[in-house]
Amino acid sequence: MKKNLFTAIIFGIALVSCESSTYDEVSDTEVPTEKITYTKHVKGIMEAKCTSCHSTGGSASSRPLNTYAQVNGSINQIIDRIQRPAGDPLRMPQGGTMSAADISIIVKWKEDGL
Amino acid sequence: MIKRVTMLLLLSTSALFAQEDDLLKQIDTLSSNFDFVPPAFKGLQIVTAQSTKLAAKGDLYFVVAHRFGDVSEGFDNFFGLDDAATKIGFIYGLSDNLSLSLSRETFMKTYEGAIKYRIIKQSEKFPVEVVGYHTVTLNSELDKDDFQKLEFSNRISYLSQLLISRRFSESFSLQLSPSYVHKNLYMPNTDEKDQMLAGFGGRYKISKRVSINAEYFVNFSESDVYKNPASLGVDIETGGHVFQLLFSNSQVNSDIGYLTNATGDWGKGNIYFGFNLYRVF
Repeated sequence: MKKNLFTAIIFGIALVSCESSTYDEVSDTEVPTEKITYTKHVKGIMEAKCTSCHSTGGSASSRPLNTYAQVNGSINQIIDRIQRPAGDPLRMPQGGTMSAADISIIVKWKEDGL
Repeated sequence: MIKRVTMLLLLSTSALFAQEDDLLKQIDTLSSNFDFVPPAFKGLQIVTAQSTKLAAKGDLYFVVAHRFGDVSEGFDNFFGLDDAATKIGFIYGLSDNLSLSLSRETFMKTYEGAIKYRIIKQSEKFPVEVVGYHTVTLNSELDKDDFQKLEFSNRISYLSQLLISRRFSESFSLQLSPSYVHKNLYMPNTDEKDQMLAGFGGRYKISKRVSINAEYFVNFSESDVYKNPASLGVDIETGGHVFQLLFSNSQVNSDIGYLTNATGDWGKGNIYFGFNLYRVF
């Protein structure tokens, strides 16, 4: 019985592929070449990834990110936090992921002059 | 009548002595047949990494582990207490030499399955204890909206370790842990898909129920971002509990993340406080 269980576990592990991919390879989104604007590109990302906590009633309500002025005013901090490496407790968004493309859009928004 | 009772008493006493002799002989034979050295570590983990200790047959361990945020942030996050990561899991001893475990933790919403088995026990005839340890982890945090071409296998990472320990004396033990990590998904500029590490750990008992533990891993695939994990802990035994208090430069609880995603820096004071709590059923 124990032997069977052991064999089943070993086979189970072996069945899953060990082929590696990079984060970029599994992501499809591309960064727009046009000038990035808050309304067209950034607002959607903020609503999908940030405002569930960073708004009134959220766990990070003291730092809201609902409006252009709020996001603009915190842009350096936002860029710092979303680019922190995995394993850093200050990495954002907490308990979720952000694609490399979304990170690049926010960085490019600042470069394009906000 | 009195004579009879005296005879009976004498007989039973001599029988009792004879029995005692036999038992004492048994103890002598037992000790010469089973000259194994007691486990090198009291906890299943030295600090965060695994020790050579295994769960005994039929033992079910319940483990709760916390790692708090960066202590150097001070009152901003109350010395890290606001940014806690938690692991909850079970370990079951199928035999004295084989145990299985399953856990879930905050970092990458990771599920971790592990198998640990003893290859050789330290004894008077063999100088070290050798244990094999393998984990498979699943990253359940990855979102299809962000990573459209994501497949199930991309969520998986593997760890294989050979744990070699020696209990030098009643109070002092050391361990070497050569380790290999494979990641099915990685960030090429900060990470490598295959990583080899050499681990060193030790335990020094300072009183009957308290020991000081430390461990350090050298990662041979150098990264600009991730540091070599280094941790310092205290084991406190209290009845059915082993309580491990610790400081580490890696905030992650699961083995792979702990070994390859350490972002803290002891030199700059960016370290994390945490604890492991075990309950044995």
